[in-house]
Amino acid sequence: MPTTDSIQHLPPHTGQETGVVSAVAGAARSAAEGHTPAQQGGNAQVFNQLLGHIADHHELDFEPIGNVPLPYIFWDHDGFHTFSSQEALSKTGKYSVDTNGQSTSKATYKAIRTDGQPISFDMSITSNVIFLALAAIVLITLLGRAAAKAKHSLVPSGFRNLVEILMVFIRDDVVYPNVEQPWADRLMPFFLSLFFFITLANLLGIVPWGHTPTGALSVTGGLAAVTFVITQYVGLRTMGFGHFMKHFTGGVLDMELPMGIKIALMVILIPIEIMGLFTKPFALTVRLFANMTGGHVMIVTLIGLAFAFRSLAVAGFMSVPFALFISILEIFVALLQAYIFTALSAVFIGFMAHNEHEEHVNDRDLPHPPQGDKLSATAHAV
Amino acid sequence: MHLLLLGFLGEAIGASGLGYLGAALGAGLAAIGAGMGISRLVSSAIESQARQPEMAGALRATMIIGAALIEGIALFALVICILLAVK
Repeated sequence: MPTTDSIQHLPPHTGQETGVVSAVAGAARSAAEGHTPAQQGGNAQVFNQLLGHIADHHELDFEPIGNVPLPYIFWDHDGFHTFSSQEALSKTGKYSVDTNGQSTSKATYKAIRTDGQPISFDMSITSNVIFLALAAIVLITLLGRAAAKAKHSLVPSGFRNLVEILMVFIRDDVVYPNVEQPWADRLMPFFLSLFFFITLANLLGIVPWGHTPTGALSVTGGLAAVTFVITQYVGLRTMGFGHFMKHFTGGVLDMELPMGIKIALMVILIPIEIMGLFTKPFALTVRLFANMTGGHVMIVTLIGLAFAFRSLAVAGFMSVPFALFISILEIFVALLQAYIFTALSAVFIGFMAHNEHEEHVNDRDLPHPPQGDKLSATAHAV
Repeated sequence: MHLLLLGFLGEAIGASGLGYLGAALGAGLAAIGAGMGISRLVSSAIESQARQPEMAGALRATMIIGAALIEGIALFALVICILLAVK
């Protein structure tokens, strides 16, 4: 791997700064000085520094004004440890950072013990945490203002218009067609929060100096886990425990088949059903993560092309216009992915809220219209 | 004997970077599959919308959900490719 050794050859200043601007400046400096190591690994270094910008990191970048180091907070065998920055962490001698052979910007490194052992429980306030909290605060403020306006008058105006359009869209086009009634209204706050929160978290990545918290698997996994728990809860409440356990057999028990075939089918179907339980939240997790990360990696790659070719023409006619195009596309993708996450959550929860068992019984066993069906069925039997 | 052979094979793959080749090929094939799936889905949806414009809204919602599910399959393939590449 050419990237691992390139970090040693680089001039010392590149290791100390992070962010797009300093990466650009560093590359420009090494290009101007004509370093041979920069030609070997400099492009990879720029690329990795930019990639480190996408990943979760222990720093807020306000380049070119400066950086704000974020605290390292973790629990280790003898209690809590807090360090204001990576320098403070390294000074103790007990802990250092896990470079792991990567040459991304150093702010992405996790804390480890100096003997190479991992620490027990890392709860550092990283950029993801900061921007998740920021998204929550902005959301509460903005939606609170819209709600306060709604108290004064029935006629929507200004920002409340926008919020209402989105809310009515989610309610009428996403939730109501997919989720049955008692649950649709009960879970409406969940769906609306999900949509607005994911939208805002996605859009934070487009703001200058921003960072996309939804570009981390842990965040999207957490969101999908909430959907998963609610899905199973709704299923348990709607079907009852017996039918809930029965739906893992894929409906084989209700079929008119010999017992041997039923058992053989169940041996195949039960693992599939249980796997299907977990592939849904997994797909939700990976979809949001991959879409948010993919767009940013595209932008990084396009900007990186300018450094790979070391040419102003490539930068002017390729990198910047294409990166701008992808950035505009990202605004659309941010909304689309929030919509898809909400819509798929609604579909999954709708499957469970829909009392499948009863309907099947009605479909198959009672071909007559529902009026007096029991009586006619018994009369027929007699 | 077989285990030994497998070990050699694994080592050879690791050393020659064939894993990267497999990951790249896998990602490309997944992209082809997803592209074909989404193209069929969208072309059918557009046809239906042209035939029955009053159904356009419902069709669009179903189309986007279907596209997301196809994309999900492609992403599963992508995860396997990433696992191969960073192994």
